[in-house]
Amino acid sequence: MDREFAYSYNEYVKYGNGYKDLNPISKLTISLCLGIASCVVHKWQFGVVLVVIATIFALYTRVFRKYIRSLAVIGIPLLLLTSVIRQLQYGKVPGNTPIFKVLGWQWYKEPFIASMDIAWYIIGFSSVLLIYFLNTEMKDLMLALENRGVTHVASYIMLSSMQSVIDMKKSADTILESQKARGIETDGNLIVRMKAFFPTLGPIFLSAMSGTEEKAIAMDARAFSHEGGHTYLRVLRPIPAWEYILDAIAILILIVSIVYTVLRALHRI
Amino acid sequence: MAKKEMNKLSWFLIPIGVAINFIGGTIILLLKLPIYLDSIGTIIVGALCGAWPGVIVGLVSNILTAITSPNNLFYAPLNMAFGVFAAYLSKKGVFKKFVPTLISSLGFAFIGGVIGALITWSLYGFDFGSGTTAIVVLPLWKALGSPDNQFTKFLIQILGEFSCDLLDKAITIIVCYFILKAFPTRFLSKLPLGPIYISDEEKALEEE
Amino acid sequence: MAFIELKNVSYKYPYTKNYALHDVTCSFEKGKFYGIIGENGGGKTTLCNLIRGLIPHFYLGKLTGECLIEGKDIRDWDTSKLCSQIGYVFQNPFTQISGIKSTVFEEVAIGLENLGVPKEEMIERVINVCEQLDIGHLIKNNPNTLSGGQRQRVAFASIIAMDTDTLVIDEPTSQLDPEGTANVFKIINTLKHSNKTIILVEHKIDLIAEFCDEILVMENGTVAFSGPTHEVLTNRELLDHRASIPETARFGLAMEDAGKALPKIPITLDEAYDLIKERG
Repeated sequence: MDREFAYSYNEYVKYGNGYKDLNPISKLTISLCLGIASCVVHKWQFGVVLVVIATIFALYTRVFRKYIRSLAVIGIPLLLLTSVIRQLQYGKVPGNTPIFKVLGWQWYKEPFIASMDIAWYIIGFSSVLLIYFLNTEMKDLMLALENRGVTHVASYIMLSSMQSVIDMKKSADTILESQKARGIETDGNLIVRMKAFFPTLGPIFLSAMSGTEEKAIAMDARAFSHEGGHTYLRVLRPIPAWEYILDAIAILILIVSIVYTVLRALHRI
Repeated sequence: MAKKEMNKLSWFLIPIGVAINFIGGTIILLLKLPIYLDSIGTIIVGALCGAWPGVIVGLVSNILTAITSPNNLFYAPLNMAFGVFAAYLSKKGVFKKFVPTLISSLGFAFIGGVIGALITWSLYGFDFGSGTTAIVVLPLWKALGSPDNQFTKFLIQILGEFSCDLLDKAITIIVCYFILKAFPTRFLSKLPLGPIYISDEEKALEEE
Repeated sequence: MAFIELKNVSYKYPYTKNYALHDVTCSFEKGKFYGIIGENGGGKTTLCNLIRGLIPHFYLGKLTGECLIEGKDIRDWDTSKLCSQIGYVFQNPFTQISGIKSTVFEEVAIGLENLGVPKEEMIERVINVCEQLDIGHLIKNNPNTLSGGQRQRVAFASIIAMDTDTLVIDEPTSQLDPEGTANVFKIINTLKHSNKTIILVEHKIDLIAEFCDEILVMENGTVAFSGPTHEVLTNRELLDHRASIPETARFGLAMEDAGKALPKIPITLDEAYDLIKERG
């Protein structure tokens, strides 16, 4: 037995990366504040700045590939569709300054800016949260929440959901394979595919359901419903003061954004 | 004491509901059908365990999809609303018979349409959104003569989302109906709203 | 006073017609190893559920009679407290893994975390249990990637780590392959030499014969036979009932019938070997 591994639980959880080692709730606070500020400000410049910051962190935490792939999937359709939709409604947004032609179709500046504002605030919001999720283990977030008093039932529900998705996918693959082997068609016209669907679902769901009862009993045997003190094998490092300062800065940015937006709106009126 | 124990099983059914939401969506993709089926779990858990568990299934499913697509977070109220509605209908006994169940899909699609439109509308600066529903909404708008009135446009958004959602919810609710029927009695007896689905003959046995 | 006592206990699951337990009276003393055998549907698992407090708290249904654990009626027990007195391992290795821990080490510690055991003590206890059950080489693995047999050993570990006075073990090998079964036998062997009260439900009669001090035979919700192991397993009446007896006992009884009785009817292979060797 690797006793070194066993005794490593005496130390705090660490990943050896400045960003990853931040407390999950601090990171979440910062990401959410920046993301919501992006939604509030509703301007493409803010969104682009957030994307740049997020990309820097993506490189720092070595998650660039996954990050850029997810962001592209969100961002490209959004940019294309929003700009097209707004252009279809030129005249609704005041101003008629032509900017460029797309395949012979004249595009105008004001709707274009409006569409960029929308697309980029959403992309900005997504980028900071993507960095968060790519670099934070859910079990650490749930642990941090439990430390703040959230019930361990919530942790169980979140973590067990994630595992159940994986387990059920495996079981679905097995059953689909056996259905195919039994000659049930999975390609073909609509009716054929619908017919394949129901007998596949049935066994998957029902076996998952019956497992639930036993899972409840097993967890109960492991003192799941025990009231009173709960201790932890994995412990997050204590939060250093400067993390609180970072949180405060993020909250400040959010407040300033709200104030700025409100003032801007009132000024218009 | 008994009631507390009944709620306990609900907690364990929630992760299964979340997994079902994911699997429904994945199998559908595999079979290349043009629907989502990502609320089966939310509705079943809402129907069997009540509004709060249904809401939690919707919320957790939403958070998990947000891990790769954070913009989905905005639609969390939509998934949660299905859980509440499912619990409400379940208590009224709607899911016990096929025809009322099928009709309820209109209700689900309506909720999906209204709440979906509200969220989309707010997200996209009080104008048409560019999600997948745009494929239906925009042609609809053009067909109706491209009206200018904001309120009319919002109604068109609702109508578009409703139509997109109707087929999806109809199939979802049919699947839920059959699954609810297939639950063994001993399992149902331990869930808060489970006894609704126990047949009367079996209920009579309890009186003895 | 016996540790666990049942007096005239009858029980019916909700929405069912037949009683799962009929007027059962039996008792379990501290420190002994009990075996429960019998046909499927005979009430073995129901009895376990009762002792574990799942009946009536989890399963509801209709319970009459008295079931006392340490002198207190099962209806008055809080199941969250009962779990630190009575441990429970059952058949399905897949549902006994929590699914929320990423290493076997953490999985084994799960009960201790819930009970609030201090961290240093937790680590020591988990190390000891893992060594005792020979799963030390698995502690870094993700429990969700283990085989059935390995999962069952981890399930045992998490319960044994909780150090309960009593263990109820319900058919732990029925879903395992021969290798998994052999490993579980080893675990039960180590339990035999502890001072715990063990209640083992099994179909594998040889396992029962080897480990148990006393046996209950359940049939149709009643206790058909009970008593010390040797007495029950060599009882000719058992042959008429559908519960099986060990091959060696059958052999011993057959020898008796042939007029060549052995001094004692053997119930394990070792016993049989010794008795035959004595005869020459």
